[in-house]
Amino acid sequence: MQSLASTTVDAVKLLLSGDADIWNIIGISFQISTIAILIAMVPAILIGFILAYYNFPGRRLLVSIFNTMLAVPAVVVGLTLYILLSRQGPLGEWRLLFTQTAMVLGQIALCFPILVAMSHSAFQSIEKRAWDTAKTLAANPFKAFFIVMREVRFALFGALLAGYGRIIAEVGASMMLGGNILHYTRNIPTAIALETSKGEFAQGIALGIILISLAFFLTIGLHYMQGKGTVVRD
Amino acid sequence: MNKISRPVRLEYTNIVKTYGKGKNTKAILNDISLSLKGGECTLITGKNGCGKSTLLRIMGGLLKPDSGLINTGLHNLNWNKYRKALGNDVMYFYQEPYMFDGTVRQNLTYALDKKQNKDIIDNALKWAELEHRSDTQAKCLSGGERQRVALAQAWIKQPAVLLLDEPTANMDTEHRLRTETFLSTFIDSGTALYIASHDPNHFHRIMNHRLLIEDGYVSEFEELKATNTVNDQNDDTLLNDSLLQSNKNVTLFPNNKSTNFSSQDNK
Repeated sequence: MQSLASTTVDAVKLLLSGDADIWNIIGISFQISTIAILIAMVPAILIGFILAYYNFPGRRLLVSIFNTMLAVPAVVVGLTLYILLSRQGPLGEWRLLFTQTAMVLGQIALCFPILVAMSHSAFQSIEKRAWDTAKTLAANPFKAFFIVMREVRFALFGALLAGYGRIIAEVGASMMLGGNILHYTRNIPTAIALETSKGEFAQGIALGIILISLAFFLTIGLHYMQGKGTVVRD
Repeated sequence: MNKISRPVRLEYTNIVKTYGKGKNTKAILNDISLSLKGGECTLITGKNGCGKSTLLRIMGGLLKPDSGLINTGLHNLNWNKYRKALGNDVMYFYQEPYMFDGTVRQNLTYALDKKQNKDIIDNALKWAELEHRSDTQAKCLSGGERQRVALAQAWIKQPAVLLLDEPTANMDTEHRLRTETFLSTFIDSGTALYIASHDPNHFHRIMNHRLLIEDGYVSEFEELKATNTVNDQNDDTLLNDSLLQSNKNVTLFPNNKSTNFSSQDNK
């Protein structure tokens, strides 16, 4: 077994050489996770907003359900969707298993509760006065919603970053729903798992470097955004 | 949708509002009836917790009463459609108006309608004497300045109904009179003004009616001489009236919307 240092050097060389397979895996990862977060973003933020500002029967139960879903392991989400999408499953006719669409569905299911819970808490963090004032100023409820959304934009951006960080690094659901097919459903986490099991540590570390770099830049972005948001408190 | 026509005239009948459930139910408003008319100022007064703010929030469409009727003179309005019917025509401001993240100018932009020219913001800043604060973070403003930003927002929107909750609480006499002067602009332009204040002696220069709320009922309704003027010589303050008189020449609303209802209202 090579030393960690020499493996890391090989991994960097692999990345810099523009290895087609590596960059294809990275591309698939970003593509699937970006589509998933973009689809989940709008309804999740709306639900977070509704849970924060409207009182209706079952609201607390819904909040509890979303909070509970935060703790559900990716592999359980993968298993549930696998059962639904498998040939004998209720959605088997759609023939989505082992496709990128199935992976997107899995990642939506994973990031949705995070986005709902974090946007709910973001909207709750600002005063009721903000919503009332937005309603009194805006010509319609949509404009009022956008005024309030702008007020919590940094927290919402933080929710998006947290959701993105969760889905791009998860392996359980992607492996079960995508099947780890090269050039189609193999993404960074599934590729790392596969290459490591084969003893190909250089490729695994190369992909790991990409994930760590992503996590680093997401954190920097989050801190920058939070810094921007720290104006004088009410 | 039945829009409110101007000059505004609304009748609220038998408004009831309770908070809590079961044994903890507490009636805040019991069978309150009142009317609202463009170009007039009404002061709602009463002890803390008597329901002044609740009433204003109901009138502003921000809170749904348990029961009650509203009549526009032409239609009876369903409470669920009340807020939509009011649309841009009602504005409600808290004791300390909420300022959004951003500069004073950005906060004024939120009040701007698509059809309105952005130059109106400069005029509003001038009207509210906030030109020097236009690029200041709105959250950094003092209470009095926040009130002026809120009034500048109202000046841009030209509401038919303006509801203010304790707008001069914690203000010294000079700033209170200054605020009254700004408010007189709205009355002169035909806006119906409802002000909640714990002090029944405030706003006597501009108010036409005063109603006292006690135990959820209107216990007193007083019709006052409608002067709509701010240069009252009998004011108990020692302030020079020149301050008031100079502010009396403030610009009325920026476009023809005001002339529509002020002219009709003065007939």
